[in-house]
Amino acid sequence: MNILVVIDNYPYSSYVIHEISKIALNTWCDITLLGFPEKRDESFDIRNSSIVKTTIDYLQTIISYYDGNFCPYNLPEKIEFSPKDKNSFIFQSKKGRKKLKAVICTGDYMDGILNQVREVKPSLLVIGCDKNTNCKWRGKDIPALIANKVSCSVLIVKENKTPEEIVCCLDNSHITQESLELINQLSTLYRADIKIVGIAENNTMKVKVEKTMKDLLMYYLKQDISVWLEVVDKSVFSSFLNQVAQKDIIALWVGQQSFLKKLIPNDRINNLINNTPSSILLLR
Amino acid sequence: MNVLIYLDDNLASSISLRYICKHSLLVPMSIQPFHVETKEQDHYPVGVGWVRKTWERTIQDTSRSIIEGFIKTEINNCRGLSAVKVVVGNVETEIVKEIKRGIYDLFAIGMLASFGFHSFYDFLKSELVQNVMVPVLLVKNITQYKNVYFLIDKYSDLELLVSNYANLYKHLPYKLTLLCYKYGCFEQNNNDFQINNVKDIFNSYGLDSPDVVEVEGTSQDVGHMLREGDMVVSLVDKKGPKTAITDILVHSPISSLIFWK
Repeated sequence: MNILVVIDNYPYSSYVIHEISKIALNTWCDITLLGFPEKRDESFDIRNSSIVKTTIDYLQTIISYYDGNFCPYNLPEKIEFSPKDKNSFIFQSKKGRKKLKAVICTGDYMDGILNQVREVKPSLLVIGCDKNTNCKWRGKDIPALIANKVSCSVLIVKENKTPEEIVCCLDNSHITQESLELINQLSTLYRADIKIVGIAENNTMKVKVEKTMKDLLMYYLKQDISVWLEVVDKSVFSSFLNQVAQKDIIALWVGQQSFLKKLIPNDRINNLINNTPSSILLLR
Repeated sequence: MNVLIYLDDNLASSISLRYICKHSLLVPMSIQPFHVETKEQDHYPVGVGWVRKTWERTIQDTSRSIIEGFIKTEINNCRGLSAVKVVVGNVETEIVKEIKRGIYDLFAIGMLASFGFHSFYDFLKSELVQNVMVPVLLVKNITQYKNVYFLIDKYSDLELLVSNYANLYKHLPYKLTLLCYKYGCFEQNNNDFQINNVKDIFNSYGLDSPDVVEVEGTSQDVGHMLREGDMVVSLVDKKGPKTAITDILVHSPISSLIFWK
């Protein structure tokens, strides 16, 4: 797994780093931190920037989770960023079994994130936000805009009490092993149950959706993991999402073939991201 | 216990078969799988007598091999499972006919948990429910918990519920919990429901004393509380109006064992 984590100086980023550190502990994933300073203009000074200090702190936080156990990442004593291009600085750990790097971007949020996505090709992009400010970054819907623009899976993390369920809404998209592993990781992380939701139309599920639900049930039963199955009709799917978004994590498959994508257009996804108190996982 | 289980080649049946087979390892039972191949107008031959009977037999044989294949792929250890019985006709009518033969103690059917009230209340209004008195086990999910919840309110006949349950599941070695919805079940002035009687009622039918919990909240909240159970047992008046108990059963993600008032 290859995770790109977008951070800034706000407390939600610290929360995200702790959550990602726990996932990293289980998965030994490659991690890239992408930090954005508060002021992104010519006055930016890499030596005195608070985002650099924060990023170094976060790199050390990730390492600290290993607490004496074998750590697949390596951090030198002195972490130094070097210029990468006109808008960014980079630190990359040279040793270690797994990649741990950090990039500080002084340019536009969207351009910076999209550039890193192109470069890193993450399997998961993680970005935190504050549910009390409607998930905005400096007044802009950055998490929602990013979630709609990138082609990888996105986890939008909000600080909230531990979810009871990871609610996975299934459609006729292909379910990849990687997306299942992501769900399993979240389930382990939060000790949350997994709920598989099949979307029905006029109370009838498409054969392919039902087959996928059954395959997933068998997959989890074989591993002695309990999963809950539930059917939701298209006509009440919005109410369902609003309800579960109050306390659980919603996982949506939104690939090109996805009828969820038609059922929940981008503005509805933005609305979910911006206005619900729970974290959201968009799977692609 | 003689169980009639309705099977189709679908997810709900897969869950219900696995669930009842899990119970069959703990409680002596004989399980009769039953499938009805519906008479769809497009595929049903215009014909009478021998022609019609031959056509029905062909459909039955094909369906039987499909359901037998389904059972084989689903489960390899199910005590007391008989050969599947297949008939052609209307699903509800044929199930009612089969149940009315009078040899079954329990009817089991898979019904996936759904968001919304319709499927459960449609089921309560169905020809099937309205015409049979045999208890119904609605299988919604397979859980690993070993708790059985008895769900009552202050109007419920606890003794009737416990005696019905004991007839079927006396030997199920699961922990029992009595949930009383909204307070008032165990008021001192309510002689039928004094809390001290609960233990006696359960013990007199050979069951362990249950934990007793009074619960309140929305039916959704209470349904959610049932998550750590294997099944919820309740008495329902099928001719009566919606009640808090039926609403909780709608929202319960676990299987419901329903006895009829």
